[in-house]
Amino acid sequence: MQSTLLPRGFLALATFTLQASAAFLYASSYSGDVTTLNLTLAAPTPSRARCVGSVIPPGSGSLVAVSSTDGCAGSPAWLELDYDNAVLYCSDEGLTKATGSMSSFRTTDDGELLLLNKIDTKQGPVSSVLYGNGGLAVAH
Amino acid sequence: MPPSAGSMLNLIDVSDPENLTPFANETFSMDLAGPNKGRQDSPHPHQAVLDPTGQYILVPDLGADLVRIFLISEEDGLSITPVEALVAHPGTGPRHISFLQKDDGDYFLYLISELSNTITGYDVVYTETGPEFFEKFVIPIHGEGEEVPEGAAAAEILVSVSQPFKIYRDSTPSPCSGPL
Repeated sequence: MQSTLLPRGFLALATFTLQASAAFLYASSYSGDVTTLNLTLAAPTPSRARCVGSVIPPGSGSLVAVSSTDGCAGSPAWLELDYDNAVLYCSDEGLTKATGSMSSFRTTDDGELLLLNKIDTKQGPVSSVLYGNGGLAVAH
Repeated sequence: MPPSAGSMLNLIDVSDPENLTPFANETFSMDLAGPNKGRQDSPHPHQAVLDPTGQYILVPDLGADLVRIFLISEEDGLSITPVEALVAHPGTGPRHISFLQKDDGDYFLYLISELSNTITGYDVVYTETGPEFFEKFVIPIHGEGEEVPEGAAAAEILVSVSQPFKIYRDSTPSPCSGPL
């Protein structure tokens, strides 16, 4: 299982030192699904607002699943995020069938992953990296 | 030894993400099995990462005890050529790597090896023919002198950038110190 963090923005509260933040976490699983989780970190309590200059840990947080897709089935193994172009690539290791596959998804503001393309590959893709000028290198 | 299903680096043109187009692949082979016969019968690439400069793709290979290295073509930004690999100790089974930039601007490489359950640290020096690696230390994954549980298989390494801590020396209790 592997996760990729996509920062979604900041909410400013009271002063610039108090910040909540929200982010999407994408998680692939051998269950066959890729799940989008909403990670929210709340601002620290106001009594710590005077701690100017210190590293202030978040007051609390939550992690909630908001969407999932089986577009990378059967064995989602590795995620690679192209943040600038809003595309998520998922390698399917192919443990339950004779071939592996590579899927591309459009990422969205509400967390849904929209399948763009899925192609068969040789078995066993386990890791990928975007490189150069539009290249994706996949280790099998 | 023939490659198993896999044992390769597959290259896909994703300039149009709606039309994924494989265009080349590097198939790996090795003459002899590694010391760990069960896991090293053929090349087993486990990761594909870029070096910090973005010029090279590195592929730790658990079966071949190598970190394979490829130069990305400056002309087309897609084709790759192999350069000299980082040779790991026999039987250690390289699995994942992670780069760290040091304060002086140079780079350091951490290699986590699954079969030996060790972390190896290297200084990285860029030369005209590619990156070179100089081993600085090897430690067990649970720390120096600590026993590794039977059946452990080291799998992942991430380098975190930690922030400096501030210590308050005020004699009066401060809301800034202590647990939340």
